[in-house]
Amino acid sequence: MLRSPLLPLISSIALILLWAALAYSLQSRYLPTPFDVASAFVTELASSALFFHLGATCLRVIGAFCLALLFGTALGFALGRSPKANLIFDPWLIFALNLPALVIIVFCYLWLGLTETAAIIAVALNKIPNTAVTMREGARALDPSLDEVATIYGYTGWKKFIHFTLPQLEPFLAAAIRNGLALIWKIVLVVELIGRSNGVGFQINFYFAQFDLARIMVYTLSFMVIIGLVEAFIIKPWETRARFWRGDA
Amino acid sequence: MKFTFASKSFGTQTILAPLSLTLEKGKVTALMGPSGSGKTTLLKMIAGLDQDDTQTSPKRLKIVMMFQEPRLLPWKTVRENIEVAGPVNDLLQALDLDDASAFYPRQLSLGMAKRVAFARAIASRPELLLLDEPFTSLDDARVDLMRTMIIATKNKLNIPVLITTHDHTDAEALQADIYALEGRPAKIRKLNNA
Repeated sequence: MLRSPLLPLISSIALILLWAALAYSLQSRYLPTPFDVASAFVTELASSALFFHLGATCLRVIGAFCLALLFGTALGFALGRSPKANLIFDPWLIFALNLPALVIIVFCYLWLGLTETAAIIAVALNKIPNTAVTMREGARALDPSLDEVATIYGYTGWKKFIHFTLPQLEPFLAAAIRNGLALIWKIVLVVELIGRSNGVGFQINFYFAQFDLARIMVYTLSFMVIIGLVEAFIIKPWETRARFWRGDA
Repeated sequence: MKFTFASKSFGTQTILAPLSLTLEKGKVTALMGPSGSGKTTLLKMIAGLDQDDTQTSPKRLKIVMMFQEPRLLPWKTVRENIEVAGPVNDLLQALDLDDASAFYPRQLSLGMAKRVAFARAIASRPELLLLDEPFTSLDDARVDLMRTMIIATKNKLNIPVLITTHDHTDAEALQADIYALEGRPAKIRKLNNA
């Protein structure tokens, strides 16, 4: 019997072998071989272009992610704690959730110009409603009986938030972060493709015009690896810790 | 310590009639009455968690209430739960919890969790200790341990302790002044003088 941690590795190798077999058998410019991609990777790495564009995208992801998390959490918490506010603003939230990402991006570029600020705000605006919905559920799930415990032991304001509220919100926050990261980097690529002159999205568009699929794959796979590393070494361990006390980690 | 309250209603139903209760330092007072008679409501009013119909709260002392359910913070260990209120000192040992110090609440039996809740209440060094049904879910040995701890606490801190219970034996073992909540709306009546 194979040990379960080995299975994802074997599965990944099998996927690469399948890709290689298909690419070598088809011999098409529309499906580069793993060797083509590896050699394009080395060229991009040597010219520093890869780091430059990955860096630009990473900064946009971080900026948009922080904005979305901050405002989405605050909004979701307020809606979850105040039924009246929720009644008033729920239709706004549903409207925002259903607004296509592309429309928000286009409007931001039209209103704010083709600027870095517009790009980051457009991405953040796309993510804020999702974060707000997750955090609204978190705020609704807060245990009111623990509020009484906080009152009894004199915990109010920020002290209460840190010791009583935040730990209850942590699993929801972890879910919002995980889903947020997955969504945000994809939207950042669209934003870069439409209105920026650097970043992974810009490079994908540039090499699309040249039908250079190997380089498109280099940029896509490189960014996927970064997101995978963040997921594996930051988000997953934190999520596990946040869920540990529930016994479902 | 004297507490005076106007009536207490939930919706149109009056649960408690206006009442007055005096608690003495270094003494246990037991509040008895059937389920739904308003014992927990009265404790919450004294603790400032609820108000009478005139919306007045008693003068804010350091009043600590141990609830019927342990209400531990599930993301903190036993030790950390006690530290929420104050220093742990020898409380873990005194309440036979030293082996469970690093456990999370989900790993505790209900009886153990109640002892942790009691330790947390004592750790805060209250000026008045309110215990809502402290002996339920405890086996006989733990009931004895809890009674001993209640007596030790009120003697050591020289504070009044108010408990709710269904069982006369508990009240008598604690040499408590016994009050009963009777009728609807419930009125308070003193049954003995310990």
